[in-house]
Amino acid sequence: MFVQSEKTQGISNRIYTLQLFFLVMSLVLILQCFNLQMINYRHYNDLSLHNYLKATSIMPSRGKIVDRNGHLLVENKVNFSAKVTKKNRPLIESILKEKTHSDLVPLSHKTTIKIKENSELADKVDILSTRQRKYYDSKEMFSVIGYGSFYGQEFKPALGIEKYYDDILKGQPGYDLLKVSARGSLEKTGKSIPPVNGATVTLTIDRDLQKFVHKTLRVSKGAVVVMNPNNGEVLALVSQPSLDSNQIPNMYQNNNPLLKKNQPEFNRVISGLISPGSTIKPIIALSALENNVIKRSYRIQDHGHYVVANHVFHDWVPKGHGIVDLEKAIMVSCDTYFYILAKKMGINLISNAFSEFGLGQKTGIDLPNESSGLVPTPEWKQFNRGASWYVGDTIITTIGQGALLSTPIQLACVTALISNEGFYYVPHLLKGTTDISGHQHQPSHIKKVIRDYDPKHYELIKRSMKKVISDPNGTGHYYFRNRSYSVAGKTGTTQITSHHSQRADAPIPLHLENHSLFIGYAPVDHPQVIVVTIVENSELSAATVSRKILDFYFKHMVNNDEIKL
Amino acid sequence: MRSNSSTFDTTLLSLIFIYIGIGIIILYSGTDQNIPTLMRQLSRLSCGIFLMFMASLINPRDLNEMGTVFFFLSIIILLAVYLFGSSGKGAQRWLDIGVIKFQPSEIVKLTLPLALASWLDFRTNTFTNHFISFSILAIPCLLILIQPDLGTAILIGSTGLIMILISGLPSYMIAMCIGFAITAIPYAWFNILHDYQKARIITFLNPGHDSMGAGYHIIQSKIAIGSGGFAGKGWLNGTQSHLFFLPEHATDFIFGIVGEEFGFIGTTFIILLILAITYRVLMIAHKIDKPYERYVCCGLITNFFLGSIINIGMVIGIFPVVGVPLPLISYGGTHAWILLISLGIIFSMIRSYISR
Repeated sequence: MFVQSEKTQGISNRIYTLQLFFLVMSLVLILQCFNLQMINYRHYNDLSLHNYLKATSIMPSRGKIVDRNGHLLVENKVNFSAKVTKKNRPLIESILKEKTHSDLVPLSHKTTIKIKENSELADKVDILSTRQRKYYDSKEMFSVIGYGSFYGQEFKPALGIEKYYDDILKGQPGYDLLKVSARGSLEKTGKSIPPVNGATVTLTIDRDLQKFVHKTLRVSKGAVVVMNPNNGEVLALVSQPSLDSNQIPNMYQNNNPLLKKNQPEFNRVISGLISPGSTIKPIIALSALENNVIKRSYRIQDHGHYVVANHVFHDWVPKGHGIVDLEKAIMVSCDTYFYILAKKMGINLISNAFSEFGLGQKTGIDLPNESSGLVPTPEWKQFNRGASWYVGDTIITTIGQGALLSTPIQLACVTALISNEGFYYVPHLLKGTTDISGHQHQPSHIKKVIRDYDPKHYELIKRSMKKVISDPNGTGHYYFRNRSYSVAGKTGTTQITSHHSQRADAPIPLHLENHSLFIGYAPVDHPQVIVVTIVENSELSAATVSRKILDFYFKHMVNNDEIKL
Repeated sequence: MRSNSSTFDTTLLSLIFIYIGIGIIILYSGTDQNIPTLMRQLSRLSCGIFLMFMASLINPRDLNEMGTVFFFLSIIILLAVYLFGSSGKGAQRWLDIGVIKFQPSEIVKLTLPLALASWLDFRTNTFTNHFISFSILAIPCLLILIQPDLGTAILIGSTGLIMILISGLPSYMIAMCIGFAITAIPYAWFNILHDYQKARIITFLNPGHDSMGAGYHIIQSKIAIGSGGFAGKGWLNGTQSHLFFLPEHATDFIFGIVGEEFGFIGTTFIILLILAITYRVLMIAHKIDKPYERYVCCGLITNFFLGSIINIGMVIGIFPVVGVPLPLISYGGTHAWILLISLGIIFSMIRSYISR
């Protein structure tokens, strides 16, 4: 055993110090590892997962739209196209058997399958798939279905049912969890949430009736709504002019002038504001009876005009109608009778009546962009026009002109209310939905609106409206000669150009034509169907159009069980 | 006479083989299970182990006498790399002498402690001699620093400094050293360090500053380590490494794999194993009564320990990124050979003392 010198003893002490130093350094490292791995594990684990896990969405396929009888109206299609490069151009040309100069050539499904099945070809040809919404009877259905288009994988609804029921149609996207490396390679983890495809929407619309209505309403501007008063189901809803839903995205791309000129996206049935004209006379009469302004037997001597405050208001028949009672007033659409009622009722009672029948309010139909119309009041005029309300204003309001504006769908509700003698169902287009597993859902509660007036008053009004058609003197009689069913209705004509047509630059002669309106229901005793027709600036009469529609309805659809009472 | 088997300290030898064995398991994951790469490293390690045994046969006295040779050898090869070196990643670190291409600064890790140990053994306690000690250390360190290789310079510098301190230094010299360091560090910052080295140090102080640039390494390696948790994601299951978020995970950042795949258990085990090897050598050094052998043991094992600590510290984010490999585990030839030769020399130094 060596005896350590003082020098080596000093060195040994310093080595102990070094050992302590190394121990402390090691503990510092372990402490930092503890900090990273034990204390902050969650944080760093999240960062690590965030680094390499990426969720990509799998788009669901959009729901189909079918009519009440299951006829397909809208579905999805996938279009394939091949990317053309310098390398594969000869190959693609040989497959297609034609020369091509574009970078992207459309492929038929047959060719696509041929390429995909051949692995040698599949390696060389890059196939892109684009999704497309395919609309059938697209021009006829446009007012109901609207349109939308795919931007890449995402569908953007723009109008109509496509937009209103987007939540039902679009489904839920699924997710695929991918492993991503820092170098960009992708690998499936096998973990995914499958997409839920959109539900099929069944409409209350009858495709054949809708097509017929579209064909019949051969005018530049007009609107028709056909509705079942017993449940609020809309059987046909047509607004002219119309567009082809399939073409609209392209039209926007090409800045097609048709879009601006005709405003075809404007749906006249729900947004078109028109003066309802004489079609609202039944409401005035009902209200006058209900508020005891007149008795049922109230009659006047009509000389063809009425003078109020030094102003002469003319009847549409210059000589007048002679002795006129309420029934006749509606049947022949006697203006003078209603001028007198106006004077007796006053504007407040009249505007109240309009509001009670739903004018000036949205009906709540399941389509976007519905207008509420306008029921004028003295306050409204003071506020908007800065002028006082005159008796003359009351008088022209009573015959459905002046500032009073309504939509065709509102008139349909008014007609339903009268035909049902006191209630109507909110008009709707959704009959039901069928989800991906086949479960059917009915739309939740359809709102029923009730106006409990005296049944005798309703009966009187309905009898008057029946006479409009059945009595040889009735304003609608001529249009409904030789019919095989009973009809009640009311015609209307407005001399003033409608709110909307003021913007159009239609030819002048046509522009001077009156708007023609018809509201009606049939059969008279147990109403099954309501027709409201508006024809703007045309020689074609709304009553003629309605007659053809009702003829078609009773010929082709009355056997349909769902329509029968 | 002692039998041949007792010429080695079996405890130390076992610890080294355990460490190398674990290193191979880690490197298999680090190379992304690339068998050819792993085989190349295995052949290097086998060769290194052979060199270790050869080195253990050297007589310490012969080595002591070659101190001057080692010093000038260090200077010459460092100058050579400065004159003829080929660059890798913007630094002149490699010397290509036809047959093999190697990093001279790695060789200096071996030769300089040997040269310094000879001098410390020889010198008497005068101011001039102490000054010479520092010069022997400083000249090669500066040459490495201007290559530039900050990591190796720091490593060799601190190893040498520890050797000088172990050998005994008067307190006035220690005071002077501290004074010198305070003035030299700002000078080095503005005149010697390259922009990328400064950027690394700045990044170290504030890693979030530039996460896709210089800070990316630190952030990703901290995520790798931290996401390993207590027990790790399992061997070969590291996502940070195998999906390439952790750069250089076979070389400088291989400790990230330890942390990610073996968790806190793995990191603690490796650190304690390194400490155990170091302690085993230092415990034996206490028994040695010849200063030269002690200096060599302390110097070479300090080199191993500090190299490991700087590497691990850099990967776990408590040291700047300086590009020092994890001894014996990181992929690479030169550093493994030098380390195994160093261990062989340590064996030769302690051979006469292990049986006591």
